[in-house]
Amino acid sequence: MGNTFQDLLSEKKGEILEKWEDSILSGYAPDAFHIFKKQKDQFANPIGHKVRTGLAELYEVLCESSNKEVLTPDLQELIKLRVVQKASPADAVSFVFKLKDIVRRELTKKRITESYQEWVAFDARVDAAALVIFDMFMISKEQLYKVRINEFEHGRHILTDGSICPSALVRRNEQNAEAGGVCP
Amino acid sequence: MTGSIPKQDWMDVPAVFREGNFCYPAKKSMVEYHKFPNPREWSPDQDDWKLPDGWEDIILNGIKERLDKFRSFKLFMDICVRCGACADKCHFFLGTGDPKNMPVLRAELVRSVYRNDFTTAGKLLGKMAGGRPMTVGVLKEWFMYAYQCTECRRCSVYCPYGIDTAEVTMMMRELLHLVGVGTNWILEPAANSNRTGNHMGLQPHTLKENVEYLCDDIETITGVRITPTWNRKGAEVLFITPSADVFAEPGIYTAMGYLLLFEHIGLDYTWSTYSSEGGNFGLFTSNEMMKKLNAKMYAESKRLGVKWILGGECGHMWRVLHQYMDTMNGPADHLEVPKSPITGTVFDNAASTKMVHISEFTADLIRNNKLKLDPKRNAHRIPTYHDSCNPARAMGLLDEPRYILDHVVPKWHEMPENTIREKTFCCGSGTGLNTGEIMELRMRSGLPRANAVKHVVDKFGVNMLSCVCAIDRATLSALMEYWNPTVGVCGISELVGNALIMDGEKERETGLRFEALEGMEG
Repeated sequence: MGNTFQDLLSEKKGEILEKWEDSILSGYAPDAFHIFKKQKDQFANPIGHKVRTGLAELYEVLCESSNKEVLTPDLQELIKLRVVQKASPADAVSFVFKLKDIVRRELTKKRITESYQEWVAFDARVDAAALVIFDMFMISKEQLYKVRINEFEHGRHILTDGSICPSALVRRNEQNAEAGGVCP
Repeated sequence: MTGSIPKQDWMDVPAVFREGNFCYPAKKSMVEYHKFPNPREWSPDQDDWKLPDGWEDIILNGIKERLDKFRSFKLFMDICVRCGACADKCHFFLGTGDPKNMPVLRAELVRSVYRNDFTTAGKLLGKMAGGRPMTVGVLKEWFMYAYQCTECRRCSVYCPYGIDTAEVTMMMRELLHLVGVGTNWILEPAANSNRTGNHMGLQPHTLKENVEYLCDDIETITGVRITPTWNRKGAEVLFITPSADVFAEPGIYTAMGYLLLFEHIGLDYTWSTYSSEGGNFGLFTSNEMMKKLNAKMYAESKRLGVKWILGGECGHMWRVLHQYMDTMNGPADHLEVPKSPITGTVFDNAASTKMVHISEFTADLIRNNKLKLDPKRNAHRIPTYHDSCNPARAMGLLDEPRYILDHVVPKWHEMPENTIREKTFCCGSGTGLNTGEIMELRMRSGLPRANAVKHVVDKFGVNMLSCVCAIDRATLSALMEYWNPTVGVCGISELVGNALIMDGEKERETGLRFEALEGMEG
């Protein structure tokens, strides 16, 4: 008697999540990987914590055959982390696809009775989640740009961009006026 | 490169500069202004940094000179046993995962050169003894990681030998300046500060007008007109605060808090346009620059004939003051040991520097029942308190701000134990790293702080992050906007000002930000 696909996803959750987590954390140097993996206090290890909780939340969503919302709070945190840590959107969302391979390796070790359709449905859920995550990534990226703009608008840029100061602007205007130019 | 995947020994991983991972270099005009060596146009992402001829010798001689001059530098080069206690304590490491942001390894960047050229083992065994020659690659690495350290000193709290890695970073930055490698956002504010007295380059009339605008707002909100004095000889107290407090949000609300407090107690004080900056970007440049900029405080206090100096909510001003001012520019014999004219309390802790922190001063007023306060006016705020690195770790200001909070807000909540007090996490943008071109890096380095704030947001509904540092107020605002968008940022004195019941005031309908006050209708 074999196990159903859904049962196995639940049963192997621990192993799968462990490997999925490793697939992200192994992107860091060995010393960092060791610390991010070992330290369980979230305040002493925010990256490890966000990776762990974000993946766990996403896994819950992907294990359900129902159309559960992909956008969850902890996953959002993980994506925000990817936004500020990775240069390319492809790199930042690639972790989602790694789950397919990890699940295949883990589940094929077991005798399973899943159908081809179940695999296809699972893959489709992963693909759909990747698209949502791509959107989440872009929204957070835009948010980051807005933070920069807002910093400018609130006058904090004077603190954060030494290239501009009021007296420098006055001087520039005066120089422009003397040169017969138009004040900016 | 932050976020990269090193596959080699750390010594073999080069620093790779690309737009977004470095602070813009100092403009030629700024380097010239300071009369620093090698002014030129250059950029870190270009291969050729246009270093002067014989730059290696300049650096090595610079190391030698500093080893002779600073015992601490020599000690920190020698005594590290690489125990690893600091390794996972740096917010830059925790936010980037880059091993070279482990304080031990950051120090190793310069220690390896020290070993190679200044120790017998290194001279004989080279790399086997952990040494390496000074090369362009090493220099680039120094620039990368000396500017991924905010000199917050969290690592030093955990070091069993008390190595202050911040001072190693300071040495690295000094050495880099010897060959013309520096950042604009440090040298330009330092130039402004030198020329006009403050980072912003605000001239006297602008400063005065800005404070008058704040007084206009105070009058609108409270009905009380405040007329502070400037450059007034014979005042009892000289007040010095970061210039950001009179210009940028949300610091201006903190400044309104100061103005209300001083009016409330009738303090005989003056602002200064000459010494109009608490911050000291010399600390991020060189010891000589730090001394020069800091000297303005004592010079102005002497010129005005005040008895003592009261300092506002600034971060690194207090490190300079507490750790370096007295030996650099003291003794301040022209000043008296600070004594509160309202409570009579003598601030013996400031007997040498003659300068008192606004939170110490305010806490003493509250303790002696000299302030009329209505904490309910801050009922719409549920604050937590961020221990700003320098006041917390460099001068031990831990309890006073908390004591004030206890009295000016109905409730507030602490962040987790390993993220506050002397273990506080930096805002991630101090020491001149608060510049826009590295926003992503700032969001990474601020992650440990933001993560702790998120915890109290989720648990207690915290909506305000209070602090006592101008750079914090500016940079935590951006950090919160990204990581915890429901959280605002304020200075402690803003909350004080909001709660103060002023003589002759009208019924307050709004707070100092013109925000409606909940539940104050009746």
